[in-house]
Amino acid sequence: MDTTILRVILIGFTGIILATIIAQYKKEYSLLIVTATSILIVLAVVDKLMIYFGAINTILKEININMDYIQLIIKIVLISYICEFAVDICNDSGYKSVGNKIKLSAKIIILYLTLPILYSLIELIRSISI
Amino acid sequence: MIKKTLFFTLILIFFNSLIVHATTDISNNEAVTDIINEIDFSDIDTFTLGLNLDQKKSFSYYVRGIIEGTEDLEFDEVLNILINKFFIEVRTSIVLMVNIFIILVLTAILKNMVPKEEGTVSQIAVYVCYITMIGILLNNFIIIIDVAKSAIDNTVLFMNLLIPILIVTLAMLGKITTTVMLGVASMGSIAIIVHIIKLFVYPCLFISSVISLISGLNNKIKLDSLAKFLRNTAIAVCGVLFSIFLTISSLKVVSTTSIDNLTLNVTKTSVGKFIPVVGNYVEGGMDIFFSSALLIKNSVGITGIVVLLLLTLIPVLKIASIGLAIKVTQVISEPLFEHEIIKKLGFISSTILTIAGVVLLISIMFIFYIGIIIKISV
Repeated sequence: MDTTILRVILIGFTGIILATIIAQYKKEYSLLIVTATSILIVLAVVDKLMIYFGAINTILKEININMDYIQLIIKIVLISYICEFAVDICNDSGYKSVGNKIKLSAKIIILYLTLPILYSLIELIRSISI
Repeated sequence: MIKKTLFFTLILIFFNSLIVHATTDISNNEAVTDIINEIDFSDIDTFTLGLNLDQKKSFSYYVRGIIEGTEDLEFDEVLNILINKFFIEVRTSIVLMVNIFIILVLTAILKNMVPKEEGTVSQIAVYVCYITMIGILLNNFIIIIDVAKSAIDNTVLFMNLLIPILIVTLAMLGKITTTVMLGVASMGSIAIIVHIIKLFVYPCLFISSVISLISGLNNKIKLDSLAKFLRNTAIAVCGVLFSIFLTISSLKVVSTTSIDNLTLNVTKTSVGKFIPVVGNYVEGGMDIFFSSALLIKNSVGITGIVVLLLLTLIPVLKIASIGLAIKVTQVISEPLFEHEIIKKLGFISSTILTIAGVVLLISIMFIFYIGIIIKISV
């Protein structure tokens, strides 16, 4: 972990320096470099995140908890992370409309994923007979 | 000749009656067992055996045990049953606690690491987390209300089986007026109270917790006072029902026992004084009969109280463990992030404890009722 943060910082700095240098000659290429840097930064820490969620999964398995909901929520959390990242890249590049479309599609996917939760909630409400 | 035979037969009859009364005088136990064998314990026995509180011993077994002094309902035994049940319940409620806590942790990750702007994707994800948590909470709440309702049903069923036996033993004491008044009043008021609690108090508590959860979803919706008002109404109604029931049963007893005592004393003295020779023995026999009936009545009542306690404490422990688990979750997850929904967890837990309190209230009502019957003596 200690070296990972150094790696992330170095990747960020080199990306910035390269982008500023190249921006003097060709502006389009600097945008590509910024995008590549942000992807690299996320890739550097993604394995740690996967370990974190794997640990949560093993803990849940050990205490015999109904996993369905929690796995769904983990999925939704990851989707929202990735989408925020992509939307940020799009906004940096100046293509805000594409970012908005990504946002919208992410929302639709989350709604689609939450259908079972919605169903179970409605089933619950129907089962109430007080 | 005729005079002689008449004299001898009279003496024979006199000695016969003497011998008969002497035997009943000595074997007090026999009178008790005779009376106990006349009482029909079959329904209540099958009910208590069906509860699986104690595998082999039925209700009548304990009643006989208390009368003979062989079985003193040991406190350790009862406590052991309760502790075992409690830890089983705690294990299941810890699972619920971990479930809610993990969802809250994931929500905290979402909230703290992603920019806090309106309309972002993470906003929707946070709402999904809340809705999942509310679903789990509501599911548990419905289970709790079912448990509470079945506990009340069980206690009422048990009282409906116990009251006839108590009433019969009360009637054996010669308290005819008390028996009639107490039976009618208690049966009627128990039915009414249970209906009010099922149809008004529990729905009120349920709706108040749902409203508080809705108001916790968003900081803009404010429905706290409505939720509190509904819960307070439910508690107030319970208190009123409790006091009405106690007043009815105790007032009836006070007014009617004096009438019964008067009639009983009149018959006893008239039998003893006005019927020559045999009257005294009859009076003595009556005393023995009454004291043994009193013994049976009190042991039936004591056993009934213990069974009632077990019957209500087990579901109450289940409900209370879930309530405490939710409270502990709220306490643990308070530092994670600041949102109304975490504060609402405390409200939910106190509502759940109120449900447990209502179940306890009903059992205490019945225990007071049995106590009133036990207190009536010859």
